[in-house]
Amino acid sequence: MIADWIKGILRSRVRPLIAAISGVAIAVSLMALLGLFVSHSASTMTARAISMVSPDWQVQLTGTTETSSAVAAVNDTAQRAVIEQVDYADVKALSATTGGSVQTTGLAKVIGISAAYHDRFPRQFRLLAGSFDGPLLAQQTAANLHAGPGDSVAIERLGAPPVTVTIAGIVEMPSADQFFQIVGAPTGAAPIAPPDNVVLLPAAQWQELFSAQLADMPQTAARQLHVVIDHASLPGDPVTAYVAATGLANNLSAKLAGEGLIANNLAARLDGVRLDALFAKVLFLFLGVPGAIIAILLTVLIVLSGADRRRREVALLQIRGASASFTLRLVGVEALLVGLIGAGAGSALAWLVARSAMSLPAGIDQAIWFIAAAASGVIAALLVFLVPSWKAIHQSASENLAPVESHDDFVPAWRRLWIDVVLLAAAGVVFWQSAATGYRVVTAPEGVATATVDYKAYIAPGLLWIGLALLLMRLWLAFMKDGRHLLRLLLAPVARGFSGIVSASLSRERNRITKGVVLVALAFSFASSTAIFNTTYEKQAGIDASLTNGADVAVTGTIHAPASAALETVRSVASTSWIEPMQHRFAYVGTDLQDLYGINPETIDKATPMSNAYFTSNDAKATLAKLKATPDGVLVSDETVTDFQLNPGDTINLRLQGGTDKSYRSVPFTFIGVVREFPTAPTDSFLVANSAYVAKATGLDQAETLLVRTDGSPAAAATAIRTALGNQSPLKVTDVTEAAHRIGSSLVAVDLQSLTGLELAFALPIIAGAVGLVFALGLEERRRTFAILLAIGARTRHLGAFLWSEALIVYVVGMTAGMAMGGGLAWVLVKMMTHVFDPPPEMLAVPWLYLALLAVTGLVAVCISVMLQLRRRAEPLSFAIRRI
Amino acid sequence: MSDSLVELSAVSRTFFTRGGRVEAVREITCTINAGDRIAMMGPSGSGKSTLMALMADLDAPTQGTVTWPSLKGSVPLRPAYIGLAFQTPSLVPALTALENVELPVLVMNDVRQARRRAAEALEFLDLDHLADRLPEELSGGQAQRVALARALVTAPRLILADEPTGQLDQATGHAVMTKLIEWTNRTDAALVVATHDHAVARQMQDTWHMFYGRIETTRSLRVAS
Repeated sequence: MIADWIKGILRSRVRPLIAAISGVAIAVSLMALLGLFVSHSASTMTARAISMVSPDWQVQLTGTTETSSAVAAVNDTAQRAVIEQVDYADVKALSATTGGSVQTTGLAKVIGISAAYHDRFPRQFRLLAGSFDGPLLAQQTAANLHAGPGDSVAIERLGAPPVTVTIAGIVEMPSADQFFQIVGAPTGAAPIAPPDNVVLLPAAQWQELFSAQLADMPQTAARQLHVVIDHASLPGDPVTAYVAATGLANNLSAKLAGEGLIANNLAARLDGVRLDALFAKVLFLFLGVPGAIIAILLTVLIVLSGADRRRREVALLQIRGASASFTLRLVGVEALLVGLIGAGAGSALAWLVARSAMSLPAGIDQAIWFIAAAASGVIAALLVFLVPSWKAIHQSASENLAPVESHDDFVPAWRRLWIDVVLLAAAGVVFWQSAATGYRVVTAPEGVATATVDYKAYIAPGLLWIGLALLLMRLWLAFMKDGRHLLRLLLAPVARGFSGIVSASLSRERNRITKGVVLVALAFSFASSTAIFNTTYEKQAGIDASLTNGADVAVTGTIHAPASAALETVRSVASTSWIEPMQHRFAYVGTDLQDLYGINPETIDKATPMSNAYFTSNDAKATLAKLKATPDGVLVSDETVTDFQLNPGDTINLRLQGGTDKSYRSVPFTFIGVVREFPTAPTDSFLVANSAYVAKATGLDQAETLLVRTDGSPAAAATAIRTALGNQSPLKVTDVTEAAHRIGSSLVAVDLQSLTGLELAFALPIIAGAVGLVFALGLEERRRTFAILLAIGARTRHLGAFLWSEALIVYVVGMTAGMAMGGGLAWVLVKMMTHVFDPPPEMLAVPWLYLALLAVTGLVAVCISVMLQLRRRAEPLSFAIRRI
Repeated sequence: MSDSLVELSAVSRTFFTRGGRVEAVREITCTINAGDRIAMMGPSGSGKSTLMALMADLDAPTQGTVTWPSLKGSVPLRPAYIGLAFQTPSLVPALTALENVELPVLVMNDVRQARRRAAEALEFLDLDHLADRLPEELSGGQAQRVALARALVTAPRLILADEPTGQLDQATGHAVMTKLIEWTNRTDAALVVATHDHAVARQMQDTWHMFYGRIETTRSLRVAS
């Protein structure tokens, strides 16, 4: 019987079956792909983050610890670990005689490393001159001593006579902060600056010169093990990877039993990433899940379109004595057929898209996402079939056979109770509360291993989404009912002489039309909100990178080696379009040492964009004009205003370093405004003043930084500037692209571009499906209407007037409302995720071209849908009139 | 100008179905002139509806020719010259009675006159008080009369009615036929009615009996088969 039933279904209603299967398949594939995206993004984040960590652990041994036992403990804890011994010794000074003059430094560090260290930790040292075979000088030290490869440097040891070494090479130490960090510093301790003077010796030479110091004066020397563990053993998810990395280090710590302290660089890096990973999950849920919901909604409507027929079938089975359970089994067979085939097709589609179009891993490890999505699809199919049938099974055959009265004037409960307005108001309240309290969607309390997502964050956009959809339904129903004359005018270009009839007909079918309008609107809101959010995110990432780096390219020096000395050299590089000197000094505000940026307010924006968000006045132009008009003016941070109870116009005396002796002196400034962010500035307190005034007051007319705007690629320009400056230059050249990579090393791994593409690819069939569904819902009635029209002599254009009017109304209204909803949702998302952005965006960045492409592609889908409908009427009229 | 509205010459119509070949109409030759009142009778499946579809240009013959000698012109045959009525009311559900009757006039692109002409047609059938009602708000007889008004609104010269009273009670059916004949008398239009009802047939001048796709005449003056 069940086999016959299935055969009957396949023979008599293959089209609705395919439509329902397609709906389930779209939902399943979208859910599976979203899952793959989340896990892949998390893995990418972890991989990116830990690839930049070197070493993972710095294990500092206490004086009495045997190195071999510590190495054994590390090997026991982390298999396949790479371990290198590094020795540190403090010395009184370094000195070198070059060009007939003697240069002597202050305190210095002498490091002992093995020859293999450079290969095993390639990120620690960059060879600038000479070779690694022998003693090396750090770049800054070489500049201080005026020494280079082949020169002799004297090391003044503590408690031992000086020794002289011959320098083999000059190196840059990009990770000096980490290399020289205080291992075992208490949580929250301020980081210390790396030493100015560093000499690196081969391990054997260091042992020969400093082993006695290590034994006799352990407070002035130290031995560390630099360890890289096997990253392949870490979980892909940053949160669990962080927990694993922390646990492993704790395990080692326990094994060392106080004989060593561990600086867990790996966990510290993952700690930052785990927040971003959760942000990424939140993003995916915000941006992706609505698509799956719409696809399910589409399936529900498709299945409900056959509810009448299914009710009649239930009645016929009841008349023939079928039991409720037997009838339920038959309905369940259809549901299972749709669920299983849809889930299978959706999983296959997801696998294909993942492997071919998106290069996402889709193997055994990711099977969980396919299984979860497929199970959701089958459950959804069972629910949408069985729930309406349940009612039919439990009522009499006569009730099931009675025609369902559909009244367009019937007002459902949600409209009577104004649920849409209630939802919108609730969304507003929740959003306002969230914004007012400045809560964070994702939190990772210090010292707590796991980060958490505040799922309340979903409430506001969720309520907004549903509320807007219902409000659209209410408004459009009201317009279709009472605005028929306006509708007639709107349809006149399409329906011409038929506009009155068509508008009347559509007005009476407003319930069906409105369902289509809302579905199309939801599909567009789904695609456009992601695109708008993505564009805003990309733009802000650019601003963030620019803010961090200062400009396309930044040339950074120090007060002792200012970048302005190389102004002409930098200017000689062809691809620079503007070079802006900027002072970077330090000033005491009371006892607080802050960064001070001396700028030319008139020209700074030629090198780097001045965002309104940088200033509390929210007007960059006006603030800079005020600074220009006040030569001794200074902009300070919010914190300083609060700490020192400042009011505009107050005089602040800052102590600045200057003169030939570089000593600090008091300089009066006038407080004129508050600055939140500034190119290259730290996130805490800093000051911005006129460079001319700072130069005059300190007697130092120089700029420590050059901000460079480039014509072409910032990376290429940076390389050209580095080449022009030469290897010996103490100036640091950075470009905005490497800054973007650095600051966005984790969250940038969320491939929003691909997510946008994926959503576009799914939005289009959903839009086409929504329009097709509107047609399908009225298919029987339309076929009869068209048969009548054809019989009385109507031509294709007359039928087209009905179809085009209906399709265009559904499409144009749905698209316009959907885009507006998408914009609103994107705005709410940006506000909710405001902590992702630094600085927060001033306004949404709208990808007009993408939205236009979306609109045009959707229109093409609609046109194809209408033309297919019109083609279907090409059957002989003598057949058509049999429908009358 | 010829009075011959439709001429069928050795017309056959064969359908090919899953069950095999069906010859619905076999080599029929006939003419319908202005003012004719013809009842087509015959058992179900005898080819009445197919023959009417061929006359209305709703279908094309497999063999033979169908011509409309005095209905030539740039305007399509339907709805300008041929009005059709069906067994069921055949109204567009989303349109009121008035809007349904307007449809053929709108198809002829006479937008300005559509409403007036539709109102007149409804008035002729005493239906003006139902103008704003939707089909679901009409009784079967009322809906059938509205459909008839729609067939007449363009003042066609040939009215083809396929069992127009088939689903009506006798009194309503009689009233509908009376109105149809009154209209054709007034306009000199030809009327062809497919029916199983002898009472309806008796109201016609001629009765054609169809059997297995052929016409068997009883009171025919012009049919040759």
